[in-house]
This record gives sequence, C-alpha cells and structure tokens, in this order.
Amino acid sequence: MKKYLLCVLAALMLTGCLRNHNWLNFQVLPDVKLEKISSNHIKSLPLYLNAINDSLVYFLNEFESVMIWNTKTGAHSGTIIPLMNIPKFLKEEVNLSDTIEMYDLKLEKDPFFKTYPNYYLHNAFIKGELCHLIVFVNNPLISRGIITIPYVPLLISTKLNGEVVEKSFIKLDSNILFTTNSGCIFFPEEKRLITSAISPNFYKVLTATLEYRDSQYSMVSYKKFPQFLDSIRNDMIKWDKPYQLIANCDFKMAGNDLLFSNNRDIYDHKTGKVIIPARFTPEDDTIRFIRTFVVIHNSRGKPKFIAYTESTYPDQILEFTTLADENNLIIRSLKTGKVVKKFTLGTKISGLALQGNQLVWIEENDDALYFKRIKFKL
Amino acid sequence: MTMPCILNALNLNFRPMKKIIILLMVSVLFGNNSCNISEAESMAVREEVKIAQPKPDPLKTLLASEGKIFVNVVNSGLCFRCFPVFMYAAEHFQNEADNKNIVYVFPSMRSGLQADFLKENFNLDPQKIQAVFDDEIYKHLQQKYGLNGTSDLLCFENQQLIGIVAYQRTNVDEIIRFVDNI
Repeated sequence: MKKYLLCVLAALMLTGCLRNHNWLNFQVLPDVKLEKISSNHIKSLPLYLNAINDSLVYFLNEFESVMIWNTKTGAHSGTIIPLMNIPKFLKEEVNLSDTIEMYDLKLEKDPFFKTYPNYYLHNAFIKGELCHLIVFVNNPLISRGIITIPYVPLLISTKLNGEVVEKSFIKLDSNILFTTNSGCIFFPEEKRLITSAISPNFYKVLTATLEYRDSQYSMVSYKKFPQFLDSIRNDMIKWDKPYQLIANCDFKMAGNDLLFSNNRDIYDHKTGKVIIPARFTPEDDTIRFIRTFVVIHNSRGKPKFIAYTESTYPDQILEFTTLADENNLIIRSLKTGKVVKKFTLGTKISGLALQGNQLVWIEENDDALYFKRIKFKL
Repeated sequence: MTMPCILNALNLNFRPMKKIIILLMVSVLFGNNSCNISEAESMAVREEVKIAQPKPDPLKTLLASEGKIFVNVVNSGLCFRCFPVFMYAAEHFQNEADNKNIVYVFPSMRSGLQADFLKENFNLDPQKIQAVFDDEIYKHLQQKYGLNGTSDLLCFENQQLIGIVAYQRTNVDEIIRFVDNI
C-alpha cells in the first residue's frame, strides 16, 4: 500500500513538474468593444499597454495624456494629464538660453504652432496610487520640422487625478540623445530608469541608465549595442540609419533579468545577445518583426514563458513600415525556446499587456476598437 | 516517459488491476493539458499556403477622372526629414493649386479621427482636399510602384504613371515645380 501511494505521488509530482515547465492552457475570452467617448479619442493604437490590476489597463494617448480603460467592460475609466503650468514652471525653474527661450504660442500667426504641443508625455508608469511620467519639453521653434529632440526632460509624479506630487529634472548628457518613441523602464522605489538612446553622431545605439542624484536624474552608465547594425539578410535594405532601429524599445523584467525589444528582435540587456530574432523566410520572401512582448512568471516568480506579437511584411523590406500584412501572437517557453502556442491576430493591433493571468491587447476592426483577451493557466 | 517505463524505473511489481488503476489515473492527469510543445511547434511551423486570386484593380476608381491626377501617398508616420517638405507642399496645394487634381492617400483610419488627423497633423482642411483613407489602395500603391514605405507624390495620366517624386529626397520648390511643369 505504501509503495502504491508512493507511486501515485511520484506520478503526481512528475505531472506537476511537466505542467509547470512546458504546458499552458489557453482560453480565448469574448471581445470587449471599447465605448465611444465624445472627446479625447484614442488617436492611434498604443504601442505600450500596461495593466494596473485585473480590470484596468493604461496607455499613452499620442503623447498627450494617459488613458485608463476597463478591459472587462470596455469603459473609459479616466484620463491623467499632469496639472501643472509647464511654460510657467520652465520660466521659473530653467535657465533658458536665447536659442531655446520659451516661445509664446499666442503670438504665432501660423495655426500649426498653436496646435502643436510644446511638451509631450514620453512614458508613463502607474504603480499604486501614483503615475510617474517622463515628460519632454520641446522648443516650438525647433520642433517645427525637427520634431524629436527635447531640451528639457522631466520626471513628474502625479496622483491619478493629475495632481502633481513631485517633479525632477532629467539631466541631459552630451554623450546621449533621447528621441521620440524611445522605450523606457522606470523603477520608482529605486529612483532609477533605463531608456534607449543614441549617441549624437547617430552611429552608436545605446541604452542609458539614469539614477536620482543631487535632486535630479543623471546618467550613471550606458551600454552600446553594435549588433543592432547586423542585418538578418545580406541583400536586405542597407541599414544606413541605425537610429531608426532603436525607436519603440519595449523593456520588461524576466525574473531579475532585463529584456528589451527594439521593434525587431528581443535582447537580453545583460549579455546584449539576441534571445528571439526577427525572421526572414526566403520561401515566401517574408520578414517578421517582433513588436512588443511580456514575460509570464510562475507562482514562485520564475520566468517561464515569453509572449510576443510578431508582424509580417511580405515581398520587400519597407524602410518606413506602417502596415503589417499579418500579426501573430506567439508564446514560447523560455527554457526550451520552443513555440508553445500561436494565435493569428488582426492587422491593426496595439502592444501586448499581461493582466493577471490573461494576455490583453487592442485591435482595430472597421470603425471600432476591441479588447482582445486570452486567459491562460500555468 | 510512459507509465510502464516509470513503473520499471521504480522497480515496482503490482498486480495487474492496480497497474491499470494507476495507468488510468496518470493518463487522466496527463490528459488535462490541452497543448504540448511538439504539437504547438508543428502547428506554428505549418504555414498556410495562400493562392493569390485575381482582384479588381483598386486604383481604377481613384484614377477614373480625365487629365492629370496627382496622388499623394502619405505614410502617416512621416519622419522629420519628409515632414516639413510635405507640410509646406500641402499648404501650397491647398491654397494655390486649385486647378490641379490632387488626391491624398493615407492608410485606413477610424472615420471619427480623419478630420482631426488632417487638421492637427498637416493643417489641411478636409473640406478643401480629396483624402482617401484605405489600406488596400495605400498598400497597392506602395507595392506596385516600389515606394518602400516612403511618402511620395505620383502623377498619373489616363491611369498611367508619368512621374514620381519622393518627399524624402526632395525640397518644397522641386515638388511645386513637379506639379506645375509635368
């Protein structure tokens, strides 16, 4: 009898181990239509989608505000705009030179100047009751045409109603440039952020680590990623503009390790090695770029699976791709690297979020937006 | 690893009935999992073979008018190099080139956003210009004329392409000359 029980126990343990390591159960949940709101539309599908809890997700709406939505009901649950007069703040706090003097938009006759924001929200991180925003202020004189280069980056922490709790400057360093769509990860407890950047000569691709020291965030280290310049196909487009490849970086933790995607491959930040590369299949002359990803951990906090969206482009590499022919959601085991599951998605999708035990993203279909959800069980 | 192997490995000699019960129990436990790697991997690797069906030319309606038609194929995510050229050229066309037949082609966009998109991004009055938001037409133009995702101004006459200029590789004066002189 003892042997019998031992055998059953061994079988149970073996099953548990296998289930833990290699298996996931999936359940596709019904679509949830996002309610139409009269003003403050979702202007474009967000690249970064993040979960607050089992019901709510948040994202940046075209650099202008942070939107919170309920993925179970499709209801708009709030919008965060930092409640501060940024021009006034700059006049009082920033020593502006003649060339970057704050410009009074009301004086400008060209309507383009009036509508163009002179600051934009670069990244947002909601943790607990606080929203941490990386805000870049542009000089409208410079921003006419050359949109990307900020001259005052700030880190602003607000309550969820927009009330400003704390603001700090991010010191610009002559060795790096932040650009529009640089991805970023922020650790509020450690007052540390890691972002993608470029060197001023546009030929070095970097990730920069900034820490809070002497009342501001300053760069403490940076890392070069020369392999960004590698081509996955010899006759592919010549990468003479490497800075394009670091836009839209997505940073995620996998246990204690930091992973990031550059809108093309997924990298291990520590080793600099590609974990999951973009794929080219000569049979159908098709290239697949990885867009966003999430890491699925087990109950003990160990990273087990990686889920990512992959966009397919046919026939040729487009230098400025905007439209994918096909998008897929792929889930791979981090241990074996093997594909566990693949789902075909719509052609217009947002970034991917991990909301408890479900994967969530937004799809545009005809004239409406939908939350798509896949529940999984480890 | 199968159950008999496990039993052999454990060196257990149960009576057949007990063996069957254990086998049943373990198979039920294993059977709960809906997906394993080998199945999923093979599913992922298996690519669908798509057979292209002849489709009607999506440009037929767009280029139906007589005379010269200028088609502005615009990547919504214009880069900083193209953006000022495109903006000044669009302003010129809107205000000073009324007699030219100019159509803007963008990727699809939700109908509620189109007017704001034109106004906020390019200072274009939706009432004054012809704009088409259509993925199929946009992609067809991109692929047929090898635009590589750039924003370009194309000129057609009797549905034939007679000229093309890329915003990325030109300046405003050249664009205006192209429209006036072609």
